[in-house]
Amino acid sequence: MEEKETETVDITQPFLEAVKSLTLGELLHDPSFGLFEAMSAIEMMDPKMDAGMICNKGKRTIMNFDQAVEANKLKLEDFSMKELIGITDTTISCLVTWLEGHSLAQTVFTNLYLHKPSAIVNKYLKAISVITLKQVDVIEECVSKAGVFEEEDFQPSVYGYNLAAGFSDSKASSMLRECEDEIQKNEKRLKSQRSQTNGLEAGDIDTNTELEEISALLARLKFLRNLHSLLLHVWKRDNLNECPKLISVCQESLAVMQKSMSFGLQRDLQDTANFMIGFELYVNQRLLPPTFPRSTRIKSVDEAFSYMDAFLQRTKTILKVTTIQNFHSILEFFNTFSESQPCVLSRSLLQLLYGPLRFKKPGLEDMIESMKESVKTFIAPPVLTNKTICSQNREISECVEMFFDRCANPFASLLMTCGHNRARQRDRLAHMLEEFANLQYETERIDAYIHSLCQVDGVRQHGNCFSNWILYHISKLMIRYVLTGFELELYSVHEFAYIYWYLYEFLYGWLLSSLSRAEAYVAEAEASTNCEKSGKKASKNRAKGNKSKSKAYTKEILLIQAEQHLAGGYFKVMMGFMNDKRLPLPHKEFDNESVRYRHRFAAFASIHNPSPVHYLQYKSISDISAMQPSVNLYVAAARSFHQARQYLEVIPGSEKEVAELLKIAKTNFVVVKLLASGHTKESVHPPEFDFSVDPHFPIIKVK
Amino acid sequence: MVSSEENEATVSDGIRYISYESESQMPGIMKLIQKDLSEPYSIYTYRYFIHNWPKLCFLAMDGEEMVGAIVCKLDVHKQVNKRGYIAMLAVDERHRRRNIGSTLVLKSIRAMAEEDADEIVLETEITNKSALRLYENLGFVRDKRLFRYYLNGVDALRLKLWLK
Repeated sequence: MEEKETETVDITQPFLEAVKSLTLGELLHDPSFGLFEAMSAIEMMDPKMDAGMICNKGKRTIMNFDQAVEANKLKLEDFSMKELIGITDTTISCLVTWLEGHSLAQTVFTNLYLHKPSAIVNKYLKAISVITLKQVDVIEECVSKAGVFEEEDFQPSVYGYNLAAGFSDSKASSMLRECEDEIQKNEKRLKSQRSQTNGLEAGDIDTNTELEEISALLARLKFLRNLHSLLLHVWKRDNLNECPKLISVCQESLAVMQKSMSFGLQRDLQDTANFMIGFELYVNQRLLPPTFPRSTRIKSVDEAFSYMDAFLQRTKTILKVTTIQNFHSILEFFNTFSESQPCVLSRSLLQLLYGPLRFKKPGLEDMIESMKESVKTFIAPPVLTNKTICSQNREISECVEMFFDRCANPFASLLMTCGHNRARQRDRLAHMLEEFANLQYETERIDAYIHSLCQVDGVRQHGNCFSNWILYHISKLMIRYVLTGFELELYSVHEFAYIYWYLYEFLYGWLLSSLSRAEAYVAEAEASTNCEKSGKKASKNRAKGNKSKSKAYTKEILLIQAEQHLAGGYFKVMMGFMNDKRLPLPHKEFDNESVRYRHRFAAFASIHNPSPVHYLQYKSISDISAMQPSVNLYVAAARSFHQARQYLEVIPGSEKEVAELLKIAKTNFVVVKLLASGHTKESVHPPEFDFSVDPHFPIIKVK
Repeated sequence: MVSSEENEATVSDGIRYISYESESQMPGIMKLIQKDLSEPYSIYTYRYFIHNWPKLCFLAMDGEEMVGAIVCKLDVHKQVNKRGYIAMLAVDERHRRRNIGSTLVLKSIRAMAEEDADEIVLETEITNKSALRLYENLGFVRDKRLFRYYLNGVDALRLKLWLK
């Protein structure tokens, strides 16, 4: 930079003179100086606020790569195995810390070797450095492209660092492979040496350690190379069938790495100056925005490896999406995966594998095809089951196409919504409900039109097939919106009553009625196909067909019914607690349940069918309950939990989800039975709700 | 408008509650609040709030000693809502469990309600159980969860009291 000649003037006196014209408390500021400016203003040189001050603490000079090499503080060759393992493990820890929302500047790029990998003489360290940069590159691209992150999830900025652009992906990979070959040869040589000596000679222990160190480093190189290649495959969405193999190689290597953590040089957590060979934690301090210093604690190797282990498991899971054909199953898959609160990288990879809104293969067209299939099995619309209708009437077929085209965007956005973190998802679900409300409005008109066009002899009525399918999804969305509130711990205990009431009386009910209507349509469709055939054989087939068709439905319906009755149980028991004055209620002055209720369900306002349920309806029910003896309410709750149990017990198979709900239903049944018998009636302890088994349906605990 | 009643000092349990009066109280407020916060605030932050909404700043005094303070603002949010915001609340450690915090919050809610606020919001760390208890007892509910909201990486909750 060009240095301008500057003259420093002491303004202390003139300043003090000038401020005399201000009265006490008067502040001179620009009109645009608002909260944001005030909050981000720092007091210069205050170490609590000024990130730059960290560099001035102590006498240590912070050196970059070149400076450190110049000063002989950074070696480029003659590394011991111990050092190489330590550097690699710390680098992986930094990568994981970055993936948990911290900046690259304070994580990966605290490793000075990554600033100039081509200058490193040791070929192992050079390869490790290059592949790490390549990984950062592909991860950054994956996450940015998938677009399901927020500032709290991921920081994409690379601060102008070169991500080993001079090395191609294949070059990086072959550099590692070369190192691996060399190490393997070394290993063999050592092993044969050992078998030759074959005794308890003095060198034996050393050889053992050396061998262990060698295989520890080898595992790390393998891991890095295969992880990089796995990420590349998903990024390019190419040769995905290679991925499972890559994952298992990574897993095997990781297992060796986990056992050999102690072989590496360990970090010095007390002394930031000697954190780890090659690392300077404050080297990028001046690159950070001039705000308060964000604290970044680099994860321990143990934590980082556990993260990688879980990440590989998650990647294994998401690859399954490529084999799913049925659209409902895809939606379910996205939802279930999101419920496990996955990391931002795996969330992004799933979007890359199935993100029809932005990517082709599978794109929107493919999605529409699988949607059609799902609608067909769900509700068997005559326009989809009977091909002649569409071929005979072009207007009908155009209407059908229009409907699916119109659906594509909202449903693809829904899949994308599932990619965001759980806290953000709730807001996004509220927006989705608005979008689906518009879609529903148009669907009703499309249905009516198709219905009128299909008034032909011998053709089943179209009715409101498509609307019913949309209603099914809207009900599910509404339920999900309410349930995520439990998961994010948003509801106060005194709110549980109306939340579970809404679920019990309406949301699950609407979902069930959409399902039973669909079932009726499907049965009708089967009946009409059978009518076309004749004879005993056909009627036999029909009975058989019905049975197998309804199986898939049955499980879903049973589960919904079980959840509905669980919700009913909670509502009733909450009413009982309120009667017994066992719930802490808010201070009277600003307590307003009706207002709270309205805001809690405000997201449903945009939906006209089913229309939102007014607070007065809840109030009248809760008033009636308030007049009943609490025993009756507890008995009714026990009945609900029992019913839930009955539904769960007939669900075939032994899924974890069902088993857990069953445990909850059984336990709560016992608890409310006790309550009904007057147990703990005089207790001063408020009841507790334990969500550890299921995030939505708690186990009730009374003392 | 703030009623004359609100401007007058009230006394409860030996603690005198007063409205903010002048810049001379600023160092005391800053000292009190800084102690409790996980994030530092510059003096501009204090001035932004207190100079713009001096009537929404209340102090709890034990004799001449300031033992509690609350700092709020009230403005239009997204052009539809009149949103009150509790920016800071602190009670001196030696004077806790005397309802000083709740009294300060109630005083500020009343002042904001009188100025026609639709809702009152604030953020707190999910691990700050005593703050959560205090606000929830007053009818605040958790409106949103904010992932890794604070510098230390802890989740926050946006609490809200709907007045309308």
